[in-house]
Amino acid sequence: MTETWDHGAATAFVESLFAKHHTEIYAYLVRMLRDPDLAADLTQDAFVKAYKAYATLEKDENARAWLYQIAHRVALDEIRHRRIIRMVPWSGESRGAAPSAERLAMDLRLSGPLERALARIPERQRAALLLAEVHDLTGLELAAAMGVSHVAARAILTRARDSLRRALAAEQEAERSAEAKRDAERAAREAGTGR
Amino acid sequence: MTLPFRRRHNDAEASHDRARADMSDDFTGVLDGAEAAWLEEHLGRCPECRAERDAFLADRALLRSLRDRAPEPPRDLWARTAAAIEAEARQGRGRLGLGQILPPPGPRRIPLGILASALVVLVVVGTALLPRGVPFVLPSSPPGSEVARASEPVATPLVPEANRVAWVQRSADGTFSLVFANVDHACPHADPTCAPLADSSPAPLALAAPPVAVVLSPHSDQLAVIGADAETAGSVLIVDLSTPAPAPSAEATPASTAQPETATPAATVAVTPAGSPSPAHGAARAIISGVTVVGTVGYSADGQWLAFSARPKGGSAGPDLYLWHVGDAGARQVTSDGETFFAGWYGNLVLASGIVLQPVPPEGSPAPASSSETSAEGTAATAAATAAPATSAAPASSEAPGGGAPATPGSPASSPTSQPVEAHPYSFLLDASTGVRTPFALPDVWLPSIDPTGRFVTYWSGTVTPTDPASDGTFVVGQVKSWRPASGRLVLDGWTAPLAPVATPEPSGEPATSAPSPGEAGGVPTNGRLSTPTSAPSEEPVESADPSASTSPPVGPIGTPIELAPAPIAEFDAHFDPRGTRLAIWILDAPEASAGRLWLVVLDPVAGAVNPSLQPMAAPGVQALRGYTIDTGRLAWATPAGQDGQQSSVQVLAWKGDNFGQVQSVPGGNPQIVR
Repeated sequence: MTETWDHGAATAFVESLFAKHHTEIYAYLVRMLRDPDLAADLTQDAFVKAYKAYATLEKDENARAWLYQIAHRVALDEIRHRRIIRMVPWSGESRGAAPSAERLAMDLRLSGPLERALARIPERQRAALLLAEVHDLTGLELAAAMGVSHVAARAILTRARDSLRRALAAEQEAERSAEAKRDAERAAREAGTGR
Repeated sequence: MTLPFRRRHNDAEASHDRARADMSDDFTGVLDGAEAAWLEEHLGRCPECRAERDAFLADRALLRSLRDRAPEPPRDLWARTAAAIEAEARQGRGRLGLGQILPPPGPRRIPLGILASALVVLVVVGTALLPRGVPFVLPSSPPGSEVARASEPVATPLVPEANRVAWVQRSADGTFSLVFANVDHACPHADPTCAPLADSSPAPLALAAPPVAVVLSPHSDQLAVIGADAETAGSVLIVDLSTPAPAPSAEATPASTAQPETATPAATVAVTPAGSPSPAHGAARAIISGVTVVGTVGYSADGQWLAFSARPKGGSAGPDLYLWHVGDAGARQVTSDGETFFAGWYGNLVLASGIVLQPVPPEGSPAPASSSETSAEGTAATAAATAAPATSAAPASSEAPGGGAPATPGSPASSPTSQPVEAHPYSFLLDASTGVRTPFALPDVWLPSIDPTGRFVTYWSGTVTPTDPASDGTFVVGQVKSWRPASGRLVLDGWTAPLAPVATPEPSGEPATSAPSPGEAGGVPTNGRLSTPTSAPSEEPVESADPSASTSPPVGPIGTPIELAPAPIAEFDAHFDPRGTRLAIWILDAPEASAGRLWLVVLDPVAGAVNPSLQPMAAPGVQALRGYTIDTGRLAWATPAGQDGQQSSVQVLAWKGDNFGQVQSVPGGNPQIVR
C-alpha cells in the first residue's frame, strides 16, 4: 500500500488503466445509463476517482474488478440522483444540442428489444447481468464490484435472470401488440382507399 | 419461480433452489467440483431445472451478443479525463496518507476537518429572509475559500446569487454545532466532480438531544430551538447570537456553560465565541415549556415576533397559537380552542388555520359552497364524531384576540350526535401587534403560504381529518392532536390583498402590546401590514368582521386555483422564495413514510402563472427529509440515507436568473431534518 502520495505514479497508473479498460468501462456505463454523453462524463469521473483512490488498490491484478467497482458506484449514484433530480437543461456549454450522426447510431444500438428489456429491470439486477455476462466478471469479481457478498451477488444475479426473462416477454408482447396495431391501421387505410 | 423468502414446502423445491444457485455459480465460474457433480445429477432427473438452465443459457447467449455491439467512447475522453485529474491534483485533496484515510470509492471525502469523523445529524436551519451578507457567529469560510475555488469541473459551474445555508450537525461525541455554508457555486446536472458546499467553522450548540427544529431569525441574531422528544421535550428555546467575533474562542460566558460534556441542563444552548456585547449572549432561555410544538415555527419579517402552535404535553388538548415578542419573558397563548395552527407569516401578519365541523352533505346534494374546489367524497370524518357539528362554515371568531373555532372546544358536545361530520378548515390573518384578526373570505383553506410579494398563495383546498382518531373513528373537537389533509388538493392560487412592500426589517423596541402608530392605520400601506381597510388596526384588539358582512374587499385566495398535488397527502409544506418567483413544495405521501418528496415550481409573476418551460426539479420531486429552506437564489434540503450505505447530505439547488445548478455538502451521518 502506498504510504505517500505520488501524483506522477498515480497518473501513470490511471493512464495505463485507462488505455486497457476505458472502452469496456464506457460500454458498461452506456448500458447502465443508456446515455452516451452521460456515460462519457461518468467514465471520466470513474477514472478520476480511480486516481484519487489509487492507494486503496492493494494488488494490481485486481485493478479491473476494482475499476468496475468504482464505475458501478458511479453509475448507481447517478441513477439514484437522476431518479430524484431532474435538472433543467444546462444553458452553458451544450454538448450535442443537435443529435450527431454518432449519437443517432448509438441510439439505434441502444434501442433493441434486449436493451429495452434490460432497461426495464432494477438497476442492480441490470448491473449484475451486464457485469457477469457481458463484461465477464467472475462471481467473486462481481461481488467485489457490487460491494456485496458472494451469496448476495448470486441472489441478485438469479433474480436478474428471472426479471430479464419477464422483461423480454413483456417486450415481445409489446412488439406483437404494436404489430397488430400497425396491421389494423394498414387494413383500415386500405379499406378507406377501396371506398 | 422461487421467491427469496418463500417457504420451502418440500425437499424438491429446496433442491430446485439449490440447482438455481448452482447454475448461477456455474455461469460465473465459482461452482466447485462436488457441487457441480450434484448439479449434473440433479439436472439429469429434473426436467424443470433443465428447461430453466436452457432458458438461462439462451438469455446468456443473448446478453453476450451485446459484446458485438460495444459502443465507442468519444475520442477525446482521455484528454478530458487527464484534465480532470490535473484539476484534482491542483486541488491537493487527498494526497498524503491517502491509502490510510480514503474510504472505498464512493462519496467524496470531507474537504474540511469539520466533519471528518463526525456522525453528522444535519438539521437544515430555516434562513428565510436572511439578509445576504449578514455575518453570523463564525463565518470562517468566506466566499472564494479553498473549497470554493478548488473545483474546476469540466462543465462551467454556475455562480448563483444565493443566500447561505445553515445546518446543525452532530459530532461523533454527541455534541451539536451550527454550520453555515456559502452557496457560491453550483454545478450542472449533478456533476459528480462538483466541489462540496464551503461550510464554515461550526459554532457549538449545547443540546442534550437532536432538536426538532432550529429557526434563525431574519437578522441572524437569534435562534429558536424546538426541543426534541427527549429531555428537551416541550420547550421552545431562544438563543441570542451576536455578530461574529474576530476569532472563535473556546471560552464562553458563564451563562452559556460552554463545555458540551458538562452542559448538564438539558435545555441550554451554548454558542461560542464569547465576547459579544450582548449580555444574553450564548444563553438559552425557554419561552415556553410543557408543550409539544405542532407544525411550523417562524419569525415575522421584522424579526420581532416568533409564532408557533403548541399543545399541552400529554395531549389533553389540541394546538393553540402562541406568539412571542423579542424581549418578552415568555410566549403568549393567543387562542384557546385547541384547534389553531400556525401556518406562517405574511410580512408581520400571522397566518393561521382552524377547523370547523359540518355535517356531511346528503348524497346527491350539492356540495357546500366551501367545497367548491373539492369533492365531498372521502371526507375527513365520516365516522360518527362526538363533536358538535358546527352551525356555520364561516369562521366566526368568538374570542379576542385570535378568537376560537366555532366548534365547541375542549369537550364533546352536550348531545353527542351520530350524524357524520366532516372537518373543514378555515384560515385567517392575525396582526401580532394588535390582535386584529381578518378571516379569509374563501373557506376550506388549510395552512396557506403567501408569496412575500403578495401575488400568489398556496394552500390545501379541501377537508381535513384527525391524525389520531379513536379506533371507532370518533374524535373530540379541541382535543385532536393534529389534522391532516383529507379530500381535496394542494393548490396554487392568486392572492387578493397585496401587502405593502416589506421594508428592510429594522429591529424595533416596540413593546409587544404596543398599538401601531397612527400613520399605520386606516389602510395606509405599512411595513408588512395589509393595505386593505379590512385589517386596519385599531387601538383595541378587535374581533374580526364576518367577511360576508364586510364591505371591505375580501381577503384571501382569489379562488381560481390550479392543482399542485392531489389527495392523498399526509403532510405538506410549501413556501415561496422572497421574490415570489419560486415555490418549493414538500409532500409526505403517507404518514408512515420517513421521507417526503420536494419539488420546485417556477412562477411567472407577470403572467401570474406557473412557468412550464422551467422545471429544474419537477414533480414528483426529489426525496427530502422533513424541513427544507428556500431563500434568495437557492433551495436546500437534506436527503434521506439511501441504499448501499449512501449517507445523507444537504443538497442545494441554486439559481441565477433562469440558470440552475446543484451543490451538496459532503455526505455523512444519518440526517434528522427538521425545521
